[in-house]
Amino acid sequence: MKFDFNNNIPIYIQIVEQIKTDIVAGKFKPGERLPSVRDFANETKVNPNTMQKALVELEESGLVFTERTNGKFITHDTSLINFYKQKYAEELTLTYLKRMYDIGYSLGEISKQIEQLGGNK
Amino acid sequence: MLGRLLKYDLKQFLKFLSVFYILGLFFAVLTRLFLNIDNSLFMKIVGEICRGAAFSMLFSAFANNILRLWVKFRQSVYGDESYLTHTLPVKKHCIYSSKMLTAVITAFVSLIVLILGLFVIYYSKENADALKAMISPILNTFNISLLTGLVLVVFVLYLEFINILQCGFTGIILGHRFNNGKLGMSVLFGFIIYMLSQITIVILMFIPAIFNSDFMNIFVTTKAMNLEVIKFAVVYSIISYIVINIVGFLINIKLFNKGVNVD
Amino acid sequence: MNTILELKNLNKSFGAKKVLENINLTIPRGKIVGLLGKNGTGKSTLIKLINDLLTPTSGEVLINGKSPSVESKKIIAYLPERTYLDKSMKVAQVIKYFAEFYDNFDSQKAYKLLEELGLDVNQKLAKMSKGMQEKVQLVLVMSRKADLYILDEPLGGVDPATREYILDTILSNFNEGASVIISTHLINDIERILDDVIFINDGKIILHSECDKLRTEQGGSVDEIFRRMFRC
Repeated sequence: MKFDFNNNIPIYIQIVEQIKTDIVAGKFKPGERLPSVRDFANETKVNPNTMQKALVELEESGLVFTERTNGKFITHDTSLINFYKQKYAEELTLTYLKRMYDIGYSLGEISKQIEQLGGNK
Repeated sequence: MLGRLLKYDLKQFLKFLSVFYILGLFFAVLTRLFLNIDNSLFMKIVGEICRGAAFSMLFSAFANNILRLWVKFRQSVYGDESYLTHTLPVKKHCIYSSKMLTAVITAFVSLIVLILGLFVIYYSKENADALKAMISPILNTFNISLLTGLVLVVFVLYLEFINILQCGFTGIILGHRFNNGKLGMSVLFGFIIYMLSQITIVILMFIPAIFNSDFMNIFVTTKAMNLEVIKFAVVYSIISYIVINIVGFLINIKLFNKGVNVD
Repeated sequence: MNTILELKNLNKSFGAKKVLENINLTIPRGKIVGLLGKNGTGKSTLIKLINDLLTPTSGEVLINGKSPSVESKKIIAYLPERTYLDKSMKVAQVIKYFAEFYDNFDSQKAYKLLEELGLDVNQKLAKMSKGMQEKVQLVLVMSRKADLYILDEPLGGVDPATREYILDTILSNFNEGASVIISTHLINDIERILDDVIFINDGKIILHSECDKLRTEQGGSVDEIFRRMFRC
């Protein structure tokens, strides 16, 4: 696993986003133990300090918690994960809609588009 | 740490010089063989060629030794390699001591090899007798053996050689300090330092002369000298050379400890 | 001690030319710091002062609280921008040399990294290309358990694929609690791994900030911010 970064956005925010995506997508299971900061940083080829900062941020969101001696874990709270999943889906949809409106599509045309192409992955 | 530095410095030099040593001694042995087989013209020619080769190898070992010591010193203290030299966890004076010890040891080895080569080429009962006959008046006057006499002469030459080497190092250090490492300046400084060291030796010789009129005669007359005076002069000059070399060494350490500014 | 490097009112002149002017800098442990500036602005001079290759005109260099000395050389692993090894040596001999002089040198790690880079330990340095020699030097530096790694233009002569490998090597090999200073003008390649950046221009420190803070406050990548600031 190696993250690709965009130098224009703070790296730790990109790491937070990446891990959040992995959590809501189920790549990290609820209650799963995360690697140590250093190992995680090594695996993903990022600066350990940046990884630390990202994990602190994730902890603040509640998606990750620390058990004093055992390390960091993904939350057991599936409703919280779902909440973030929904929020994320909303954000993506809104972005999509905005761009479609920008090029002149109406809501009806957009749903038709989605129906037509929805089977594609 | 000095030991480790010295190990690498010495290895590097002896590896390089051993080519000259081996070839020089090899040709010396050949010279001896060819010139002793018979008296035919052919053998003579081959022998003389070998003698020439032996001489050029033995003396270039000497010349290369001194030149390479300077060149390497400059490279490892101020050139690209200085980036390693000065970042090793080693005291500055160890770096200089290692270079100087390498000079002292390799010069000694080169000298011994040179003498060995000459011995192989020339030693015979007749030659030894001829040499003895030639310098016997001197030997008799001083009441010393041929060997002692030769050792004394070679030793003084050796000390002078070390002095030249060390003046070269001082020249390189000063040249770098004051003129950003331009080679011309280093050579000039080296030459000036060498002159200064020679003048110092003469002054050192003069000091006892002030207190001893017999000794003063060395400087002011050409009369045959008192045996004791000459013996004293020889010993005193050897001590002077040793003192000069040690003082030079301490000055260089002091200069070296002030730190460097490499390109 | 939490500060690994401190520079106090540091000045360096060559003759009448001032190369560094009144540099004040503190670098804590555990940071990767980028020393960024155009060529010839004083980056290398600064680095050479820290490594005792230059003597300051005035001011102080303190490594772990002490002036450059044998002690500081033990804990600094320095990668110069030039090839500085005795070229008549084989790679394996150089490794032995480093192991003899540096207590914190890990020969096994060096062999492992060399193998990953596909370098032959029995080859003489003289027979290697400049790029290969630079890789060997990087391996030597990263195989030390140092407290301060100083890398002067580590990406200079290598191709983009190797650049990635080098950055990853730096990231995964620097000692915990150690700091890394990387000087470069190739900001774009390196900024993803940096904690802090120092912009240096005309011998002065213009800016010293956290990378992510800079990105948030000024917008854009560190590279862009640098270009905007110096119009290059």
